Amino acid sequence: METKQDRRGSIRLVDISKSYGETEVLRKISLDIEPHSFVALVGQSGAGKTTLLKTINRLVEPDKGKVAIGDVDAIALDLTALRHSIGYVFQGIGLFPHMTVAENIWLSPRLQNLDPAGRTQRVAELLDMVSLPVEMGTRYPAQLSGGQAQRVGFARALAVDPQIMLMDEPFGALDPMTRVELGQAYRRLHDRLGLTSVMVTHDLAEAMLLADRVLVMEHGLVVADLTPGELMRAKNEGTVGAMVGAVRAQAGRLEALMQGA
Amino acid sequence: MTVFGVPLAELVQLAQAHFRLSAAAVLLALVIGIPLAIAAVRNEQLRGPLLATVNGIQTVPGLALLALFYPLLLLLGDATGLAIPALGFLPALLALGVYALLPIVRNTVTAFASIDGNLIQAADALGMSARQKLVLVEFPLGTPIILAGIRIAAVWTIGTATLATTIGQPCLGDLIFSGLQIQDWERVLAGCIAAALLALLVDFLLGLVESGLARRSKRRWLAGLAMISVLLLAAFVPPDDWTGRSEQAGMDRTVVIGAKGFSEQYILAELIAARLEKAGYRTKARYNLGSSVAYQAVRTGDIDVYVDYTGTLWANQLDRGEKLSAAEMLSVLRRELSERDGVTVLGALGFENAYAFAIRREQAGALGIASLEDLAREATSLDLATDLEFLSRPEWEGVRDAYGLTFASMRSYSPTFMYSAIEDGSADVISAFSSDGRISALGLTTLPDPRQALPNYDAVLLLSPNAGRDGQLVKSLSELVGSIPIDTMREANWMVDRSQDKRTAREAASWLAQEISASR
Repeated sequence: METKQDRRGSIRLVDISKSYGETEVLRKISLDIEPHSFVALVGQSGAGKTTLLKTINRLVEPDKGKVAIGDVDAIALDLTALRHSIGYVFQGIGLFPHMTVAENIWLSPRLQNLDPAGRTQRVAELLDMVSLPVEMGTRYPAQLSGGQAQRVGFARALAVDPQIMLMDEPFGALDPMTRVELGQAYRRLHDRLGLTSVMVTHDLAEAMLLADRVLVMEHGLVVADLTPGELMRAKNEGTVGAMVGAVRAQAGRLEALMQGA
Repeated sequence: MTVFGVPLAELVQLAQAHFRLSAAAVLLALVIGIPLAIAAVRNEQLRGPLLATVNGIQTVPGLALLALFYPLLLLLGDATGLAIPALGFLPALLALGVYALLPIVRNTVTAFASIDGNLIQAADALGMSARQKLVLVEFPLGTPIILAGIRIAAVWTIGTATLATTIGQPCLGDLIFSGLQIQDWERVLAGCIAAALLALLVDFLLGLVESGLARRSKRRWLAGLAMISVLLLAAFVPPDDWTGRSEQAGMDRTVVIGAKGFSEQYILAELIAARLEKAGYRTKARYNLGSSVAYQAVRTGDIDVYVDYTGTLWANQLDRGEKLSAAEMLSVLRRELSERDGVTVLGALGFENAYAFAIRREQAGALGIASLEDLAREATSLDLATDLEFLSRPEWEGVRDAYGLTFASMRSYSPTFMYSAIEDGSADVISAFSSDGRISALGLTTLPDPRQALPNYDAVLLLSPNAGRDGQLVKSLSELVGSIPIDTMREANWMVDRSQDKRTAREAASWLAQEISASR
């Protein structure tokens, strides 16, 4: 039986609709995300993935429908409190260039008026969590590589122990090596910290490798909701089939290469 | 000690007043401009109209903007019944403040609008309130561009502030304008160089702050800020000897003396100042006022005393055109100005400074011009040069209609250059001043006015309502009434206007004072 405590990381979307002018971006989407699960949103550009993700921390306000975080109506929650409880990482990273790495990481605690006495230790912990040396704290964002900057982005998002992490193409701007390494490192963090993670990506292989559950979106609708294993075995038809087909073909070729073809 | 012939203490004092005015104006522009700019960034509908407005203000010439605040404040004072000073610091501050808005508003809008959208998204996702976003993100990131705007505003303001002398605010422009009138080019240069150095210094210090912030060098930007603060403090420290005029203890009343923008007025203002200081008053000067501005100022008490001319008052203030004898005119003016405005006409100084058409003596002989009637016959082939106000004054209409004058061309000059124009032949006829020493010195002759189209222009002392009630002041200045014959005034004017062996207005005034006491 689940305790009440465990439900804090749950997300429930009910009949979410959103239009920009004439364009319907989200069409009555309903979704339940269990605490501690790792969900990937995939689909082509314009499918509504990012908009859906942003309705969760109300960076986008839906026209219709309800959002509940930890079984509490998100509209009823104070906007500031809601965002403080949800970590957000995106492709643009958005580190503040006039602040050091440590200042960037300590921003959320600072906004919540946490005791600055704990700063040094907490920043060191967070840097360690994302595998960066503690000396990195005194640097400015312009002095970091892309991978280092995104690690700092994760550290900043994790600074106040959120139950939920929202990620919008978090590894999108990184080179392939860093991308895989950082993805796997994050998955380990997800498991260790018991997070609920929702990740938008256009890379189906990445989604299948990291997530427990993959939602495929098209024209503002969720057209498939499957585990990676189910997805891999899906019929070769429709949009989903086409997307999976490409991954399967890649995998087949790689396997053949490994067997010395 | 003097710099370019200007006493150091005077220069320092004017530079201080100049800097205080400029700093206050930029500060005002910041206080108004930054909130407006932020509102415009948040509200797209406001942005266009706001930028259009500040742009529009910028297209108004600085001089005109300064001049416009005078009637505006006058109206406001009359409408509200409050004692709003319409001359001096307040109108100058407002005009310059409004003028400095453009670079500050424009740069602040640009600074905020050009912040990377990713940073705004990150700030929102971190749960920052609008205020936190402003303080933690938008201002720190926008500072370099905003600061660049402040630098532009500061340099513009320090330059434009030289024009504040025209509405009676002491500033480095005093040196430039009065130097121009009395052809004291060193004085003009002193004003220009001092204003330029001030602008460069402020620009350098703000630049230090800017580059200090950019390089994250706290020492550098703090040093810049500290030096700006020192400069501000220095602008409020009184120089030891106050332009040589000692402040008398015991008198708390400061008499403000007005003067229009030409040599005779400077000399008479100095004469009045010396006399009042001897009587124990403190004095302050408001130079380079236009005719109407000077009268309005004495009416409202912005200045306490100045010298005007009966014909000017007759036409401009009473709006009358008929010809009366000099004595009748004076008595009508005395009665009407006192009843209507509470202004005291203390009396005539003894000389007339009339508008008189002057022409080179040889040319007059060659063309057979001996009066305005003869001039009318030849005028269509002659070029007229006037001072800046003559052509818009009722006297011009009067004389033009009486004689049917039509000139080949008509141009307005500042008085000094009007004389230069006839000297170098670019004009044939000028609207000279009959008390001017340059008329005979340049070989000009003034043309008689047989139809009496031009009124008398006896110099008269005018007192504000307050000054008129001050018995001691009235008594002290009454001694000047009837004391200056035309030849004496001409000679004093010539001392200041000639290019050889030039005297300052104050030196000419003390010569005049000696002449007055010797003849008594």
